[in-house]
Amino acid sequence: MSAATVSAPSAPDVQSRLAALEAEVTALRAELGRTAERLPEHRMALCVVSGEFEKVTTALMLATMAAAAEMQVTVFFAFWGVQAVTSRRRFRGKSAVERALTLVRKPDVAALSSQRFNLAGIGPKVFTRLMRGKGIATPAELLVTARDLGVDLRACTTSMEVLGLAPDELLPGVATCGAAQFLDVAGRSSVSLML
Amino acid sequence: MSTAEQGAATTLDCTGLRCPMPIVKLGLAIRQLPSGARIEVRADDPAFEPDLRAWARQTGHLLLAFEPGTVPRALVQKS
Repeated sequence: MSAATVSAPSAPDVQSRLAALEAEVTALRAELGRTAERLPEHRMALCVVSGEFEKVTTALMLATMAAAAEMQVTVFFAFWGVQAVTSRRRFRGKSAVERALTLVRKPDVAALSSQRFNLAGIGPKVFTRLMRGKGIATPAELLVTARDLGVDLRACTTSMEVLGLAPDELLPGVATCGAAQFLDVAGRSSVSLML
Repeated sequence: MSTAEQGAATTLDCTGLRCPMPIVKLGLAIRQLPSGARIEVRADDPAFEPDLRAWARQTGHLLLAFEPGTVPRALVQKS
């Protein structure tokens, strides 16, 4: 191979290599942009499917702590978890099954049943008094605090449908949410948990 | 030098409160402060010190001083 062919590539050759490199840089920039969009944000997504006193309390403790640590927090309440964001029970205009479901559904976060210490509803009351005496925030206090902190509380639309829960039975200001919407938030969150 | 002597315009007493409330109250209080302002927090929650350090790491606010004791005191500066 002669030295001349190595040291002096033709002008059209340089032009085509440059064009290829430019195209590659453009493609990489676009890929970088797409990757940055997928990076987790300082965000928390909780899915609360349990309506038990213990799990809802833990979820609200984590949600308030995360919001205090300046995370954007979304709590998605599904199935019996939605009890936590209801404020009343309405029986009018419902089918017999829906009325039965409304009857077993607890009307607010303070009335949730305990997993292991329910004793026909006495257990959660004992827990609440015990917690208050020890300086531990109760579920009702945590829910108020969560709202003060701007935690996004969402009720699952399908769960509301199954339980025959009408929008006017939700706590004022609680929005509804679909699964894809929650997954979109969870996908962008650095912390996502299910309770 | 005690944390009080280092100067904090705002003080927050979380004595008797348990996790997550001391940090939650601190988070709420610091929202009201301008950048660079200092706040003194007192809390006897057993998780207070580790929680405070984790919270500072997450938020970027500065833990200027921590004084252990029966009721530990912390001096925090908003970033």
